[in-house]
Amino acid sequence: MNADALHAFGHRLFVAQRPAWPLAIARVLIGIGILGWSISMWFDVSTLLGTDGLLGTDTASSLWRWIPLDSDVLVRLALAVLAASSVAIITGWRPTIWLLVAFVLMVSIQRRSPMILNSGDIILRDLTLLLALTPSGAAMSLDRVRAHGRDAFFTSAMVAPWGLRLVQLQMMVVYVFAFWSKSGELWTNGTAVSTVLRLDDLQRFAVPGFIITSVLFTAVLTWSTLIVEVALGLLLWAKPLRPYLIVLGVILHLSIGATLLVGFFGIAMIAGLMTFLDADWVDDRVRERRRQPAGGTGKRSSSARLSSS
Amino acid sequence: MGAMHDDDADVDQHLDQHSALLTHPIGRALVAAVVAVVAFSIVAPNMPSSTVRNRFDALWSPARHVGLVQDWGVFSPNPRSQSIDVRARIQLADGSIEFWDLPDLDPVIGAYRSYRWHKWQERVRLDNRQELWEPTALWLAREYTRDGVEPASITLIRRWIDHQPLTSDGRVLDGGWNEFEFYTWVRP
Repeated sequence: MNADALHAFGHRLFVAQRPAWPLAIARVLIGIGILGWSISMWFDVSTLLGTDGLLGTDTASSLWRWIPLDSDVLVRLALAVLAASSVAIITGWRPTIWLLVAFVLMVSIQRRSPMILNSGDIILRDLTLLLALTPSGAAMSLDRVRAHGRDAFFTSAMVAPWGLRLVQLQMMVVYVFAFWSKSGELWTNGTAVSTVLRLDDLQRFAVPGFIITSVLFTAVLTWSTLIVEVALGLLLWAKPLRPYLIVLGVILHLSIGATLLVGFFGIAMIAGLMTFLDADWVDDRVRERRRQPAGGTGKRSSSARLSSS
Repeated sequence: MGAMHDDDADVDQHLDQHSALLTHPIGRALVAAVVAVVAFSIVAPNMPSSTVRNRFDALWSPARHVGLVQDWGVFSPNPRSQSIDVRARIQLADGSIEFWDLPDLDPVIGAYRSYRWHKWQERVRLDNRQELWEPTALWLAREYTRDGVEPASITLIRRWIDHQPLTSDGRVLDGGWNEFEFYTWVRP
């Protein structure tokens, strides 16, 4: 690859502007996830985060806690602000600022009692931080309405994708290493899913017994999980495959979420997958629905400025 | 109207700020640095453990402290082979006995709370988490004090089912629940 080709590749990857729909959809889903997370946490503050609860302040993380929340009142205050920030994120009112606020509060609350965390809690806050590095309020947002009027809610500005790439990288890393770590015998011999679905303490909705005891079903589910994970980890940037992989990923997470107690893992991962949507395709669909002529959003003009840079 | 225009301009600036960074050399350098540091902080901590990797731990330590944490080994290398449960037997001062179990929350909405209880349960049952046992007993003692009747003793019980892999002819060879009393608190 010569220097010009490398420059063109870098430009396409990080600079060439596109509609912000995928980021906006991810933002809304992450906002809903944060809202649900804060409300669900509220009910267990005194038990799981309180000073007289099951996990005293001596069990707090030794890592940087941002805001030490060592009393019930402080935790509830943080959760209230977190819930409020999630509403701002969902509606797209200064989402960059509120995503940063939400990230700091989530880390502070989670590090008060790290023993109750699962991977869903971690990916929810990781994506919250990474979305703060993107112009996620450039579509479907109150910021658009305030700037361009009520009709602008379902319009999108053209944005540079450098922050989007970090969110996408995070998603692919999750899938690659989730696949990579499943090196045990139960995964290779095709029985892992049967074991997982028999773990009494992880069940959400019971799976029919014939699936758990079927060698064929279990093998198909076990190996298809591995195939989907590695495909999502390595092939999501292949444009022709992307729509199918996104659908497979959403099915995977809905299935896991329906059968296992994984909390907010599903909605966070689906939010991350939305960043792989074809921005122009979504833009075209929205324009069709709104019967708007191309270029009607008034923000595409800014693309010329960056395209030449 | 003037104030409204100012406000709108402010919003436009906010919307464009990520892209606008790329219009200036300093902004482009900043973006390049942010992308490089964050991308490294996402990828590097996931590398397999080795002496080389451990030597560079300090490089992604700041990201970990900030809260950008990487740990995606789910059900790995194998799913665990035990269903687990923790319950408590509470003997009240009047001689009566009650049992405490994890909250039985509904699977639709309650599921978004119960996973935290199950994570706590995974930890509290471990021998290397003894520091959690007395606070658990004291919390239960407070919960079960009613009408002046206090618990005299509280016993934490570890319960589990051993799961065998599905056999090649589709049989499940799981046993029943096992129990082990791992901690007893007695009111002083």
